[in-house]
Amino acid sequence: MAFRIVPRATSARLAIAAIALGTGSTHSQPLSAQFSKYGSSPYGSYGGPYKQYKQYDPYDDYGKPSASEDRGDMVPFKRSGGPLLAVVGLDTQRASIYDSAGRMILQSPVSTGTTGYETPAGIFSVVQKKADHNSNLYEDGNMPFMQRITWSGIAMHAGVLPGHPASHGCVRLPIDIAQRLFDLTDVGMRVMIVRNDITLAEFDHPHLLKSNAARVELSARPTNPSSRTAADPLQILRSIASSKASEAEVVQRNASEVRRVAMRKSADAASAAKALRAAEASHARADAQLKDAAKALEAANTAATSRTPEAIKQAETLKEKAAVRLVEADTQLQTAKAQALAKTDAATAAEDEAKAAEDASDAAQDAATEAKRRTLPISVFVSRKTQRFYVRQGYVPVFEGPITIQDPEKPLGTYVFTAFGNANERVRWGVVSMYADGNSKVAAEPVGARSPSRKGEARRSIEAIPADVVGAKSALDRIAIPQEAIQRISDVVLPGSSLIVSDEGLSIETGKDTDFVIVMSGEPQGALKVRQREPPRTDTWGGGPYGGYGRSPFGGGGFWKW
Amino acid sequence: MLAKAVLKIVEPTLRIAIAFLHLILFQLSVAEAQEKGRRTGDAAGPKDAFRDCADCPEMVVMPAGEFMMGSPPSERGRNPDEGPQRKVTFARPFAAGKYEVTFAQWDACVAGAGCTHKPGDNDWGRGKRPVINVSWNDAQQFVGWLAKKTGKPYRLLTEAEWEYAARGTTKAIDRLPPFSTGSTINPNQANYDGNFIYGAGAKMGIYRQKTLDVGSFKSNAFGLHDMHGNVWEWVEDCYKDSYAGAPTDGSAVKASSCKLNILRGGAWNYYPQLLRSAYRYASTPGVRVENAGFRVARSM
Repeated sequence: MAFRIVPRATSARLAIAAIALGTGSTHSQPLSAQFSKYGSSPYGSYGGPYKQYKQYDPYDDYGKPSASEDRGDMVPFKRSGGPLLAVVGLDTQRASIYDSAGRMILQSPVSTGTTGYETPAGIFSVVQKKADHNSNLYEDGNMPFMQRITWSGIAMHAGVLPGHPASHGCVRLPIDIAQRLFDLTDVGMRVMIVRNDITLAEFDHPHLLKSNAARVELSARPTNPSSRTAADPLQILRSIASSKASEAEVVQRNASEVRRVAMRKSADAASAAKALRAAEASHARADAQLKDAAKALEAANTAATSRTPEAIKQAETLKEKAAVRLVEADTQLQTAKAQALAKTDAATAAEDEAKAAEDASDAAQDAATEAKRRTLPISVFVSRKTQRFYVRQGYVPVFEGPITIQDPEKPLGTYVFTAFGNANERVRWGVVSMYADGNSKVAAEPVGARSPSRKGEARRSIEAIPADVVGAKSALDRIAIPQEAIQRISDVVLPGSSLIVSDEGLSIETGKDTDFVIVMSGEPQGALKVRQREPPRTDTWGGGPYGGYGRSPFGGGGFWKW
Repeated sequence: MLAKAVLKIVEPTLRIAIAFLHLILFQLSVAEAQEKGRRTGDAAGPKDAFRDCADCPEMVVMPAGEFMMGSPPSERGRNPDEGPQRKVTFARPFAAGKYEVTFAQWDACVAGAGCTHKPGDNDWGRGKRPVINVSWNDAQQFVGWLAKKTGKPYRLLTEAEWEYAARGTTKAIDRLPPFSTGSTINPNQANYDGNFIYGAGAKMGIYRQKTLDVGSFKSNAFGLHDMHGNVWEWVEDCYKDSYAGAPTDGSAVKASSCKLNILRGGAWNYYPQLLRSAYRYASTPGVRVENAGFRVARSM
């Protein structure tokens, strides 16, 4: 995908035009109707902070994906050359978008969370995109060009921009810019929300990951002997992935074929066992009959009254016949025994074979999944709080382990290093610091002092501060990045790969289908506080064998709902 | 005379009343036991469980026996540091905490001036919640205090003891299942991020996003609760990235100045791959995090 570079002046003009036109509120329903459901809440009247719901506008989302949409429609992590980074300045109420080469291609005014619903400063990524999203908690909660950055419900989307922070935690954009951005981005774009607007700075450091193209070619050679001439490591990785996927398919087909054979053999063994039981029964019957006949003969011989040669003869004949039948039954039983044994052995062998084939299939499937994962950018997070590094690739946790940080009591600051460029050349790194002075959380001027009196123009006249490269360098100097462990996971550093260094730990928002989410403690987090992530409802929860454990502490499911 | 007459009339009534009261109390305790049994899955009573003081952690005796420690190379999602597998033999039984150490027990240590650190509870409550935000060094203070208070040799579990206790089996076979629950685990069996699954055919479930009261789930075969999930548990050993040369008698791996200690079992915000019985989490002994606590042990 190619990008048109938009001069800043043009984008600013566009944005201003968007504000002037307004975005056409769809806020038609009476407020009382929208909030009527709170009246019947088991928690009684919503006094205090809940009064602020009256200011609610339909452009904000409060919920996680509803059951119907859930994550089923989620576009998986992808990378098609779209923008890699968005920086949202809370003080300037401005978003800056950087393309895959690290060029700023778009700037837009935004409206972030108002007092009590503050959009949290931190590190996020786009986890879901929906062009026609409707907030699931409020009817008529129409949020066009929604790009979700937390599963609990913070998003960037089109909305009204009054010139100051006015949302309930989301990042509102003018509708034309929201649409343009929506068309450009991929799930996976990094979104940094900073208190004081910061610009990306070029950066390099020996600790930043480097590609190991030689290893890629080495790993490709067995499957593709001509790869020595291939120039693009990403192409190599992709061809490895597709060959592993077809291998896995073959192995899986084989496993199900072997399984079918095993099932047939097991059925054979079962019917042989049944035949054996029948043979045993008829053998027992023949045995009993012979014994009866012998008794009858003896009775005929010894009987005082009815002892006749005819009777004796008859009894003798019967006994002979019974003896013959027993011999026949015995032969049949021996055959059935041999058959049953052979069939059972065959079934056992086939079952072992099927299990082995299924294990092989699982392993091939794992290898295919891993090969596919290797075509995606890697994210590494180093936390001073947990003194640990974490690795994700394509939103999947891959690996984590301890890390050594010099002077672990001293703050590092929070930095996001992003790899820019394209896959077949050496990537270039850029850095955005969370604060102007990396280690210090003291703002030049508190955001509160600038709001809400300062109107849009005045805010946008605030200059963004360059990222703190000195702090970034000293932070990286103090960390021993486990290069070897990371290169085991990824040989190629693809554009969009990133390294995050922070004093913080992982936010609770980090989870399945997310990149690392890091939220700055000590900053207002109203938007997260009002969005308790609703746990997925499962039938077993509450009704399961553990006697409704989950219900009692909160007195009902409603706890999570608000 | 009159008093005697009154007593004669009242006595049977009193007796009946007392008998009635006993009956009610008995029924209540039965109901409570049944309720508890339902919740925790303790069908039978605790096996060889004991307490060394009224508010000491409840202990369960682990049998003498042997097992294969570590994971086979074929185990899904395994790390190289989980091998090589080796047979570990426990010549004598030992006792392990039935539950993770709770906030109530920790706070008693603080009140008793045995523990200096007062950990925060992330606003999830104290009481029966497992203690969190405690370091390996903090945990050592706790077991030291408990040993002094009871006169019994309280300590942390060794890494081998922990894995033996978690697997809950005395069979020394090479391919033990990854979890005490079998080839996979689900969120009705342990507290972890149920959005993630382990193995083919496993089911997603609830992610509770916080610790749960200890003993919220069925115990394993050795009668221990929450060996998988809820909080990471500090053990005594110093981390080395291989079991090569590690002791086979269940004793701890020690180092003169240990940089990394081991935690086991996974936690409320982790995915099941890291809840496996063999998974090893290593961290510096001073780190305090919101998903790490510990359980106690004592030699018999």
